[in-house]
Amino acid sequence: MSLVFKIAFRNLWRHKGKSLVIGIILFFGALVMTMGNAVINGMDRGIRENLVERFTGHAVIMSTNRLVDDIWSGIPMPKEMPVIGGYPEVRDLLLSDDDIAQILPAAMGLTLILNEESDFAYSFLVGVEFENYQRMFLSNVTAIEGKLLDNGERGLLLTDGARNFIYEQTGWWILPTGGDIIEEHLSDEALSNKATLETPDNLVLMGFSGSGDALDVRTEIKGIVRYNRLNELFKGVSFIDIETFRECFNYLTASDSVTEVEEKTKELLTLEGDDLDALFESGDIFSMVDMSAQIGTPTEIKIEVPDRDAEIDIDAGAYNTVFIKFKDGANHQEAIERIASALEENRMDARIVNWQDASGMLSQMAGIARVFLTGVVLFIFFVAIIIIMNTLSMAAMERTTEIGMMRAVGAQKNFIAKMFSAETFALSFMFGGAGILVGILLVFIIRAMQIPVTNDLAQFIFGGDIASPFIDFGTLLSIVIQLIIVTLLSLIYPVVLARKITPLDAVSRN
Amino acid sequence: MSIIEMKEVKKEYSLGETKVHALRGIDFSVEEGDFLSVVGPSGSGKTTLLNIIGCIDNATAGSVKIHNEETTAMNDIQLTYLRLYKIGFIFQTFNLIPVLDVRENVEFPLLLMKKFSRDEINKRSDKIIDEVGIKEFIKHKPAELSGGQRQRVAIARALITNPDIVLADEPTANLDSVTGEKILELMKELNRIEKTTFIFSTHDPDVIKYANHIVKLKDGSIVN
Repeated sequence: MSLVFKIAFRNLWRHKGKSLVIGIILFFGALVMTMGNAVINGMDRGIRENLVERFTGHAVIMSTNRLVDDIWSGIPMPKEMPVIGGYPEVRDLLLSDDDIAQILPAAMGLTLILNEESDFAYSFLVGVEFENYQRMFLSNVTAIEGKLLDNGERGLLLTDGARNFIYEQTGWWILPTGGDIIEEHLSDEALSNKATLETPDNLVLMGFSGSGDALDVRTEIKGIVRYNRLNELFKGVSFIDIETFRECFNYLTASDSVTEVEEKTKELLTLEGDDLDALFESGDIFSMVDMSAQIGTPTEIKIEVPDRDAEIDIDAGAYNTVFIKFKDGANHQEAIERIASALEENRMDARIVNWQDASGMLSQMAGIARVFLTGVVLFIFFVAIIIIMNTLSMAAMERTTEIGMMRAVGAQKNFIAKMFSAETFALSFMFGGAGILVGILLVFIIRAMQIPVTNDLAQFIFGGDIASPFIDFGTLLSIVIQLIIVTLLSLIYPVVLARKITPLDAVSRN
Repeated sequence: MSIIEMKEVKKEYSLGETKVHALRGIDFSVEEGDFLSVVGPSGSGKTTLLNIIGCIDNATAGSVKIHNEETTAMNDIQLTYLRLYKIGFIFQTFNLIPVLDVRENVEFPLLLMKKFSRDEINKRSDKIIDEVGIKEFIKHKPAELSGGQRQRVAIARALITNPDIVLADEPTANLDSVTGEKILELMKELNRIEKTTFIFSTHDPDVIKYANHIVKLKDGSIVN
């Protein structure tokens, strides 16, 4: 063993008290660093695995007329959620891109839920072919009552969170068709009123449309559902089949698209630009429409459901959102830029938004949580550096005679610096290493315990409904580098002090 | 041949607004192989003189040459090399490295040089440890040794590099008279065998009898 290390190790043992103080600081510093990094990792992976893989995909397509990118937050006003014009062309363009693995068209919007007493609640709905949704988003939805929707099947899947909200607003405890009350699913208030609970299995929905052209649609409840991940955050988002959604919002449905086009309309569609004046020749282009058909109490309203046996291309109807997942290994940024250019070049009514922008507040929350955690880790770094620096500086001054004597008999300043560095790095290696190991152990224990997380912010911090911090090799390397940086920064001032000690200082002390 | 030459060496300290003249223009030279004693009462400048010769303090003015090399113009690295290769130190309070045992303390300067094999280091340390009579304490730490034994370790450490000069600042001050005499006899013997130049300071008149030459200091000036 080299002379420097021999002296360093023996000095550590000789000054056990100080070594222990510095060691404990390094231990806890490394422990917090490890845990903090593991949590940040978990958050990163949680956002990727949960938000991206289960809710937004890697990118979202929306109409060029849509004013906001965020697909989840706020109450979307009609002008902010226009349909994508010419979806089939957009779809064909997306499917021709080599980096895209999956796309899922959908329609999203807020619907009012009405009852006979003019009470109302509201719910954010995703209109989608539900089996396709489950396939795209890792079967993230589970039915806790009733059943899930099949593709093409009409009905509503209400989240248990939305059911509780509707109960609070209207006093109805929604049940799926043919379902019974399950006591353990009742909210406290609903449980206390169990005997008198109204339990409808269908609801009248009206798309929240500022233009006033939304329709009331009675819909059967097929299931009460929960999200497997991030349920607390997304419990307000329920599902409905796409055709019913379109009817609620008075969008073009797939059924509409197969309706026989009248002869007159055909003529209009085939008109050349020069013949536009001909439109006004006959004088019957305007006619009175009886709007009273759309006015009435919700129970009176009946929407004629088209024959489901007819051959319907579901994509012929309107969508306002398309979720995109890229293939593994694809460069997302490049792919997004390429698709954006292609959409623009082809003058399509569609633009692409990355998942961060599409998630709006949600991804910002994650960013804030990450900054906060990083701040905590940096603060601990700072405190550790100050305490270690102070302790080492005191140690240097207390060892003036020893250091000065070494200098007198021929030790260069660098030898003294190396000796101090070796002592501190040895402590850092032993105690910091122990802190990292204990941190890793705690991370494994936390993962093994499957601790449930119910708080919204905590769900982000822990990357999901279960606390799931994790350490990988890269993180471990980064923690070791952080520990080395802390050690180096702690060392600078004490080493400068120790190097300044002269042989004369030792003699003067004698 | 002069191994040390000092001309008009002055050393002043500031104590607040007061200037202390520790040395007031010292002129003297030391011959190679001498056994020289610097004597004088406390505060006469003995330690300051030895510190300047040993390159652990700077003169305020004047010239100090060791082997004809001007030390006052050297930087810290050069002075440290000079101390390592040419000068051995024996301190009043022994100043051993507490975490190293006797052998390791003695070998310390050789290990700093990084130019000797382990065999060579062992050979040299065995020889010098044997000469200063501490062979049976070779694995002891300084705290386990008496004052006399520690000073023997310090002497062995000072001599292991075969320096040209050994400086000893009141080497017997912390020892009882019998041990002190033994230490001085040892230094004298090593001076005779190794031809090493010894300069030691003392204010003990009994110690002076061992010296070949004596430099008497009073109030920072040589008085003989």
